[in-house]
Amino acid sequence: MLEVDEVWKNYRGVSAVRALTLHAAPGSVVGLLGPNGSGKSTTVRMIVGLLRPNRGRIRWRGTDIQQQLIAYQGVVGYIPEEPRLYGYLSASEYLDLIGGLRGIPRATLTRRINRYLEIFGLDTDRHAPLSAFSKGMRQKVLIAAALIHDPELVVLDEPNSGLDVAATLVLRSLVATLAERRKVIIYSSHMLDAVEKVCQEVVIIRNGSAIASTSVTRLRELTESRTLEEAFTSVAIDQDVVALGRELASVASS
Amino acid sequence: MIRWRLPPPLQHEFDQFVLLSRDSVRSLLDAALVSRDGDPSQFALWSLVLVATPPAMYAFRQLVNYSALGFQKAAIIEHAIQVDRMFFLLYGMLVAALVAAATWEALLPNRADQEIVGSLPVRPRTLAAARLAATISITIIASATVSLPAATFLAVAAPSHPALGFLPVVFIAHIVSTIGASLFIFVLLLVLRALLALCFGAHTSERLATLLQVATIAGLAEVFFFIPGVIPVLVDRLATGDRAALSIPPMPFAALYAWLVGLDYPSLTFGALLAPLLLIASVAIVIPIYLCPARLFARRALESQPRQHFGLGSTLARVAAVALPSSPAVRSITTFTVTTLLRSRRHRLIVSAYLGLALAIGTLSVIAGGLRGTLVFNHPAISLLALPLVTMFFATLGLRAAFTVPADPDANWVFRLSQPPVTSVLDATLICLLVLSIVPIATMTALGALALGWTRHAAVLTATLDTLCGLALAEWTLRDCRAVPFTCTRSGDVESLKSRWLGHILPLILFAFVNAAIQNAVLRSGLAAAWYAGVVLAGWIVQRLRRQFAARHISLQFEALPSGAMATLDLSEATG
Repeated sequence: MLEVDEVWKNYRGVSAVRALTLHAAPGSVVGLLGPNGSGKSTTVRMIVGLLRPNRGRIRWRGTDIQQQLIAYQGVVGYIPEEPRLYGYLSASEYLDLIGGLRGIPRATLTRRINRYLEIFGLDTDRHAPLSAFSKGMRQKVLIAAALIHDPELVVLDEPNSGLDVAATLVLRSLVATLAERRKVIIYSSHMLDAVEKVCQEVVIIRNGSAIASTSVTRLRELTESRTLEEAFTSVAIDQDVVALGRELASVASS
Repeated sequence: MIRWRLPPPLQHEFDQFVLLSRDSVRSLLDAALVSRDGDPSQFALWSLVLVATPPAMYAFRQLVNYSALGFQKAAIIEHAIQVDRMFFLLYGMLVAALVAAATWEALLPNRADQEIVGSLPVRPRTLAAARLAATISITIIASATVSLPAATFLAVAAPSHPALGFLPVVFIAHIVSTIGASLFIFVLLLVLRALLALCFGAHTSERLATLLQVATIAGLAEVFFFIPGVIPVLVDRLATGDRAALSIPPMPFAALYAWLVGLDYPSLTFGALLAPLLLIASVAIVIPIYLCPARLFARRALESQPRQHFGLGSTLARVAAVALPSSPAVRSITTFTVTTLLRSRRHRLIVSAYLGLALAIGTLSVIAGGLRGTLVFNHPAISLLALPLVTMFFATLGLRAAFTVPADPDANWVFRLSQPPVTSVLDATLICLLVLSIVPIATMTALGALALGWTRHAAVLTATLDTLCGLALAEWTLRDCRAVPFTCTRSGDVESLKSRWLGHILPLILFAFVNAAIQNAVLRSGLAAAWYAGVVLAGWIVQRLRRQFAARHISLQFEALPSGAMATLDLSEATG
């Protein structure tokens, strides 16, 4: 069970996340939604232990993660929003490094790396440097790196970024399977249809605060919306998006 | 085979340390690479060959010289060989400083490292320890590569005279002293790097790299020109047992070298003991300075918001680009070029390497003037007039060299789609050379001249003539320019770079030294100065017209032509 209780994160006196609370049980997929700059990625980075909250606690199985950070990070799999990788390493070298740092025995690691590269269709590019990979190929390497140690908590920050349709569908199936296996999954994305299809619960963040935290069905009922997109638009967006689009089109022609 | 293993948690941390150390070596090489598309192993190999060749050649030459000294007195031979030993120590220390300057950015784990490793079950101190081990390993390898050939040649020469020492002892003493001295200076720089990062933040610490690179390149050049004149003085102070001289960095290690080969100078044992003590103390300081704040460094790196600073240089360049009568395309390319250069450490390092050479050669000309007794400061003299011209020459060539290294080839599509006119690109490049090299150097020349007591007329006239000469030089360097700065991929043709470098020696002599002599003559008469300025201006205009005419028939380059590629006349109608 992951419990995020009243966490705050400040940067230079400005609160990026304010009193945010979310709970995720094994087998559940919790979606994090919010406009750009709302605090989703900061929340995700606090959950994986990259950032330390200024106030509040994040607990894993009842214990504050800061008290057992190394052990906690051993059970977390993380796909970051920005595909940061060592560009001079090849895909197999990168996975070898990550697996080695996670203490996976050599034979097991080699077997898993080969299988991941084969499944993602990267085995022919296994010796090419990651700097030569496309965004989608890098994303596949990151997905493999996040799963290589069979994590109990999987945190995905914009996991569809750069993926083609087939890979997106594979990812959706992957998330569903991980949930069936009682993993705790946090899924942060802008893609509302993807979130609607894979998440049971959603937390909508705006200006660093959770403005809604409920099941997808309940959110639709509360906002009297047919889709999650409509529900999200009604609670998280206060701009006239149609008018803004028209204005954008007119800037260069005026 | 029995394998020694630690208790499981420690063994796991040790395994992580080994993995991260290997990766850190790659990170350090990657940071030192001038071009992002270069091969790190090739780069490392060529760099080692480059830095190891001069001392090896020098040692080989001395091997021949020592055999000719066979009948000389022991004291004379001893003094001669001590001078050479000091040279190798200094050279090794400067190479270590150069390694530090080249890998400065990656000496501490940076934001990218923390982003990748931070979410894994790895302690920040393990990552910091791995990076420290990798940096020290690289320095030991570089230092050993520099020292081994010289150690071998000096050891081979040893049997030719008893004063040269005993063969295996000479070999070991050379290796121990030079590696020890290199490591000492390197570790001191690591301490400086970590302390600056701790006290003033990573950004301030990283900015020091450019300054360090200028100093080490200048120092390496001076090792061959100026320092040989100073070394005998240092050796004399060592031989007389001057303890105060031991405060100069290479001296304790020179004492160690002399003590190991069995020389009998007063107070030598004290100096010899001081060297290992200094090394041990520096290592003892660097370990806690690296490891204790590792968590703090990690937190700072992850929490800091990447921000670009609009420095004075960038602002001035923008103002100049807007103020000069130029097209929007010229303004955009000028601003892009200046901003890229000021924000890219790799490109700044290229320019700083050239500036280091300028500093070395410029200082040399002043020192030479001083030695000849022709140097006066309160009115124009050839040695002083050559100084800004040498700096201008190297700064302009350094900028042109930096412009040829792509910043981010994937972002080139902006220029590929807009296809700015070639003349606009060349004009923008010229403005950048003016703003970044010629005008600042000419301004500093005027201010420096006034500070030295020159008349206002002489100072302003010198700066004006330097600006005109710089303009003509900049135009000359644009003769083969076909690309927007930082956007064309490199051919990696090392051979052509070498031959081009040799081709710059004559222009340097003409532009800096012959030109300084002419300036010195024309500064005495207003009419002569006007004629001189007119000739230089005419030279610039002719070059500019030629360039503008040629630009009509060429298109912008985004891919470097492969070596030996056949140039075609491009007469096909399909490409028209």
